[in-house]
Amino acid sequence: MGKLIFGLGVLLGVLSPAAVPLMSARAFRQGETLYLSVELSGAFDGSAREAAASGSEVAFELEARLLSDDPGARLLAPVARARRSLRRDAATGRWVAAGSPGLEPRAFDDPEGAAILASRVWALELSPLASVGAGAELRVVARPGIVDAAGVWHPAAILWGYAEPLRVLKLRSAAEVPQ
Amino acid sequence: MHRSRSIAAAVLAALAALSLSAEAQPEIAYRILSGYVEKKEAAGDAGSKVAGTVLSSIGGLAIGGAAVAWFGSDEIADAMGAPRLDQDTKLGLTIGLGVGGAAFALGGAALIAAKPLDYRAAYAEVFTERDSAVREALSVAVLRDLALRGREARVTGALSSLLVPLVSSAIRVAVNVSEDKVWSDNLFSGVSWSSWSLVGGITGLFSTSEEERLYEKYLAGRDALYGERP
Repeated sequence: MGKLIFGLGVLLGVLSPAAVPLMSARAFRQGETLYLSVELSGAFDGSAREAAASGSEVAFELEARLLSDDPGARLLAPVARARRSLRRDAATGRWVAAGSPGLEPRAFDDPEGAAILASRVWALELSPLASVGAGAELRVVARPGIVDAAGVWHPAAILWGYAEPLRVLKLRSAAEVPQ
Repeated sequence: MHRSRSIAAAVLAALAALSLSAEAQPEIAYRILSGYVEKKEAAGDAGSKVAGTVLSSIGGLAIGGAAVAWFGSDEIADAMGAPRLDQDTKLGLTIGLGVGGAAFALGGAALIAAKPLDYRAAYAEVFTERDSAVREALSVAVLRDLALRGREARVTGALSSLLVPLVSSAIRVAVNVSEDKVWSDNLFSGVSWSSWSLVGGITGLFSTSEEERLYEKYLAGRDALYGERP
């Protein structure tokens, strides 16, 4: 139903036919800690960019779950979350990329640079490396939304055409996780 | 005391470096862009001037050849004791050399007249930015912009080269029709003189420019950091 509404919106010209963002993800270790870097190409294109241009704070939330690779799929570490957002500051006309953790608000004159910065999550701390054990599965999912003036998150799946980018990384063992 | 303090400082620096490497994002795009700009600055506009001079010279020679073909080929043939070119061959040769030569000469003149781009001024927002994360994001945007412009220039140049035989053919057809001949009379013999332009155009369409290769280089580095795209 959601996709039908999105398709109608595109036909009527009220929504941009933005492609689903492409997620690339890479798990790596530094010392005894497991980290994750993610880039969501196109996260702030199309309708998302238009919404940000109008002053809304468009964002996506990233969730990374480290699961055991047995049929039970137990959670091996707390769910790691990150948020990245983009908006256009009406007062200055500049584009602001921000997020947590690890991205203090940064202003750009160029929306492209701001969108590129806001689409990346670099070195998100996941868990101690030992959590991987003899093997694990890392499931990374992203969802779009809008953050209102009070900082409250509102899901807005329509911005990505109701798609939910997902990457699954297989980790064979802690020793094999690349640096 | 002094020595132990130095060792402690070195250990602290190493630990800080380890923690920074998980937090500080490598600036791949910025390094690639800086290398590109430094290379352009070192070369200056010498490359463009040389290329422009060569193109103009070739164009001038071709135009001269066209003039000789039209005005002097009969006398040259008589002096050598060789048969004169028939009118159609002479016309095809003149048109092919003339149109091709004009294209080269104009292209060369444009290159010579063009002012070299001051990349540091054009992309000042990148080179004056102190925040590494912002600088990297801006560098990515610039590399993408350069790749798009490089592709546009390459495709435009290739299409222009492909147009030379088309224009020659159109002129040939117009002349045939005006002389009440079959429209395709000696059409391919005229076009054959500009086949080099056709080859150049096709080569241009299927090659990549330096700027496009730079962006591909960045994408390869990006994949190493963020994983390959699906």
